[in-house]
Formats: sequence, structure tokens, C-alpha cells
Amino acid sequence: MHKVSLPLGMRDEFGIQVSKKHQIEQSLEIFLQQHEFMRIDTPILEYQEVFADYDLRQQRAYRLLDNNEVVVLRPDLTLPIARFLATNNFSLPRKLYYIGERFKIAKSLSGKYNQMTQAGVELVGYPSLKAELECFMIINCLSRKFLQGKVRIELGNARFADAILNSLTDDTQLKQEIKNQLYKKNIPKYQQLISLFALNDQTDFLKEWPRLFGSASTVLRKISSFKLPVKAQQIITELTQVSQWVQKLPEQSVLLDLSVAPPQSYYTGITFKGFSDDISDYLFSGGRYDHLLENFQKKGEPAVGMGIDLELLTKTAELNVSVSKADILFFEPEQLNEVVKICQKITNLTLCLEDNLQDAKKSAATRNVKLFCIDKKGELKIVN
Amino acid sequence: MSIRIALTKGRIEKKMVELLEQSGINCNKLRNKKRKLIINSNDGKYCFILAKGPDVITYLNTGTVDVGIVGSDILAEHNNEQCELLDLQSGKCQFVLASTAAFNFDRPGRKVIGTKYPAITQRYFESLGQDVEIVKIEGSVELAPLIGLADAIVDITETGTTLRENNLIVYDYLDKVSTRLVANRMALKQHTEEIFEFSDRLEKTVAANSSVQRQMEESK
Repeated sequence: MHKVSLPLGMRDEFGIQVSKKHQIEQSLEIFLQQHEFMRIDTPILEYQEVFADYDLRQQRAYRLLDNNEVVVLRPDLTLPIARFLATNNFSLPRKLYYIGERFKIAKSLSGKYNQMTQAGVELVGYPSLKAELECFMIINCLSRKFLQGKVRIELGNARFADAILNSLTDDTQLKQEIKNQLYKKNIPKYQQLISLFALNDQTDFLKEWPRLFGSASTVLRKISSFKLPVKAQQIITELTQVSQWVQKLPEQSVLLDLSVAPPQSYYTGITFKGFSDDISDYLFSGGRYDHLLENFQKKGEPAVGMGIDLELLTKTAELNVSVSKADILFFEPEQLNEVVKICQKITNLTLCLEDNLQDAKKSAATRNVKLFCIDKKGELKIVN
Repeated sequence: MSIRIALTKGRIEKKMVELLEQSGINCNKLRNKKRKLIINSNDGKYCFILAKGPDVITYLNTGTVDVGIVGSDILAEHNNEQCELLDLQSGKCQFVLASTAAFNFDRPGRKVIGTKYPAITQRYFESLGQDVEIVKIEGSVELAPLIGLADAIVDITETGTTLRENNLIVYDYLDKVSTRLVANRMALKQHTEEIFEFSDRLEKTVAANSSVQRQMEESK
């Protein structure tokens, strides 16, 4: 007998769940196309080098050999788009969107899946903060459409930690270690590391830093009591401005997190996430990465991107997927031409594939629907 | 809404009940839980879920609980991805490399090491530049070198009594272990005030206990 179980981390999807996901996908596509985003589909297999800026070890990508070259099932959808843009003489600026599968090997037997559907947008060639604002607008619209406006937008900045730490020490290894523990929010280890700066201007700030997240107004009030290095203060000024703009979106709550890790190391500016209070992961995640294309071509391009966890959105979206119960039509094979004409006229009618009328009646009774047949004149007739 | 706290059953649970009570949290229901695994605190602020250490990590990683109380040995072995808020300074012990007197750490060749903690063992020997063969053992790890299953073991010890009683010698000391308060990354964003209030309450008690202990040690 053949092996019938699925590989770990894989699953079949069917029925209402798939319909719900497709409904959200369609709705998202219509919305993005209305806003002049262009769809891009990249292959699921790429050379490993495409993901050089991605932590493949941590993300545990599926690796395969293709003529002795290592290829991977894409663990991320942004880098393949960067590869595409750098190699296809594509005119910029451009707004792109994608919907596709990504593959990351989760810890085995952890209840997590390795194949996930992700959607996202990439706004490439736009240096203005308006690119970030368009992402926030998309989050806000999806939140109100599918999640009763419950999504909260959390802002951060990929350069904030460096702006603080560069003013404290030149020790690259120490800076990296402090960032690691801060981002992981491993407070005992973080406190141990910052004890080296006990008599520094920034001591009070360093103590408070891991807790500098929450509502924008609270975080900004807390941070105003510290004298920050110039670069860090510039970032705070920008975040203050952006959070004020985002608050203008309908029913939108805005948070700040000054101790959050950027989603990937290639992020260079504002980062953002979207989540609601009743789910256990982020629904939206993105930010600015102005140098990403430099890995594939000589010239960098300003860009903002955002990933949308379609699996989680499908799971949490409040959406009614109605399963219509269509009546059934019994037919003889030679009536196929009439069948086509009738089905074009009456859409709420599905074909009954039973071989004889008696079985067709049983099927209609089981499904509690009406049974029709085609009379000699080619007309539709109800079967009693 | 109460915060859900996964508490490691057994030794950690007993010590934590004392610490929680010292912190002003009524633990009568926890003390008289009988065979119940989910216990709500009297004030309705906390919901304790009793679980084995590795399961506390699973609950934390899936967001099934907001907070976990678990040993740093389990956190290190499972490469904890959640937020470690506080060292509770209880359940203190240490990882050691131990074996019989006949064990020669410097002998050439690939050593066989028995352990309940393969990831920690792997990292330790990697840091020494040594390649070893690891045999995963679920319990009574001390047996491994005695019955010839392994050349040595990596295990945790509190006082060293079990090792001594089984004629095992400590060859090296690895990381220290203690109980930690850990929060799920998302829960910390969603219930920030409640989780920090709980953490701060425990931190004060831990600091007070440490201070008393220091004074006692100084007066000896």
C-alpha cells in the first residue's frame, strides 16, 4: 500500500475555508487593481542566492538541488520581486502586488504549517512617505471590511536602535548583542548588557527602552522625558508626524514600538505591523527598504513593501460564505445540447449525474432539492 | 479578561505558589487543585494552566497562553522565541558535564554523550570545537556512563547528591539554570499593562527575597 499521510507541516484545504480564502483574495485583487497596483507572479523555485539577505537558517527553507545548484522553495516573496525588477528592465516607479505560496519549515510537530498563502504589495521607486501612507490605507480598508476595524497599526523604525547604540559605543559586537536581546525582549540578559552603561546620559532611557511600546500618545509622552541623540530624535519626530497622519484614518488605532526588530535585516526606515487583540500573530507586516535592489543591480531604489498573512486573515475575517443549494437536472446523454441551453438560462441548476431517474429521485430527496428533467420538446419539467 | 499563565507542574509549581502568595496573590485554589489542570485565581485576574515544561513552550509559541513560568533549561533547549521578562531566582541548578572517574576528557576520538538536552549539549561541545555523538535519554541520565551507554552525560544538578551517590564526577560546569517568567510576544502587546503588573509584582518579591538571603549570608 502507498504511503497516504502528508509530509509534516502540510495540509489539504477544501470547502468553505477555501471559498473564504478565495473570496478575500478576489476582494483584495479588485481593491488593489482599482488603486493601479499591477499583479506579479514569480516562480516558487528560486536560486538560494536570491535570498542572501534573508535569514535562511532561521527560516529553515526547503532546499533542492538543480544541476548541482541549490534552489529553494521561496520563503519570502519580496526578494524574488527585487530580483525580477533588477533583471527585467522594468520602468519605475511602480506599484505591484502578489498573492502566492511561501514555504518555511516550522519546528516539527509544533502545530504550525510550512506552506502559507501570502499576499502583499511593493511600492518601488517612491521615496515619499506617501508610499507608507498608502500601505496604512490598505490595512485600514481591509480591517474595516473584514475585521470590524479592529486592526491596530504599530509603527517602528529599523534605524532607531542603531541611532541610540552608535552614540553609546563603537563595539560592533556589543551593539549587536544588545539589539538581539532588546528585540527578543530577553530582559535579564538585556539588563546585564546595559549595566555596562550605568553612568551614561542614556542610562534611564536604556532601562525603559524594552517597555517603550504601546499607544502612540503614551510612548511619545514617555520618550519626551529623555534627551536622545540627534539621529534618534529625528526618527521620533518622523514617527510622531506619521502616527498623527495615520490617526486620521477612520476608526484607526495607532501604536508605537521603539524596541521592535525590523521584519528583515534589509529594512531601512519606518517599519509597521498590524494586529488585532484577539489573534495570536501579526496580520500585516512591512516597511521601507531603500537599498534592497542594490543587491541585484548597481542602483538602489526607494521602496516600501507589506506582507499580508492571508491564512490568518481568512481564519479571523468575519465573512459569510453561503453555500447555495441548487436544484438538480436529470438528463439523457443525447439531450446534452438542451442541457447547455437550459443551464445558460437558469444558473441555479446543477447536473444530476445519476444513470437512472430512480437514483436521481433518491439523490434529490437526500439533498432536499427539486429534481428537474427535460421533456421530449426540450423543455424543463419538474419530476414529482 | 484574565491572563492565562502556563505553570510548570511539580517542583517549579510548588516554589511558585509560595512566591505568588508572597506577592499577594491568593493561591488557595492552586493549593487545593486536586486533579484539576486549569485553575482560576480568586480575584479572577489569573488563569493558571498546569503543564509539563516543554508543553509550556508549545503553549507560549502558539499563543495558547499569555505567560509561562518555566525553567531556563527548557527555554534554552527549545530556543525560546518569546519574551523572557524576569529571572525568578528559584529552582536554581546548573548544567554539568559528568562521568565516572575513568572518563578521560582529552582522549582522542568522538565521545558519546547521554543527555535529556541534545541542543544544549550540541552547542556546548561546538563551543569547544569538538564533535560528539549525542544519545537522547528521557530520565535517570546518570545511568548512561555507568552502564556503558555513553562516555559522559550533560545534565542539570542542584546539589550534586545524585551524581555523588552514583559515583559520578563533575568535569565541567555549563550554564546556570533558574525559573523564568516568559510572555508570548503578541500577548505582551495585547495585555501589556496586566502582564507588566504581574511581572513587577513578582520582581519586587524576588528582589526582597534576594536581599534577605544576602543579609543572612553576610551574618553567617
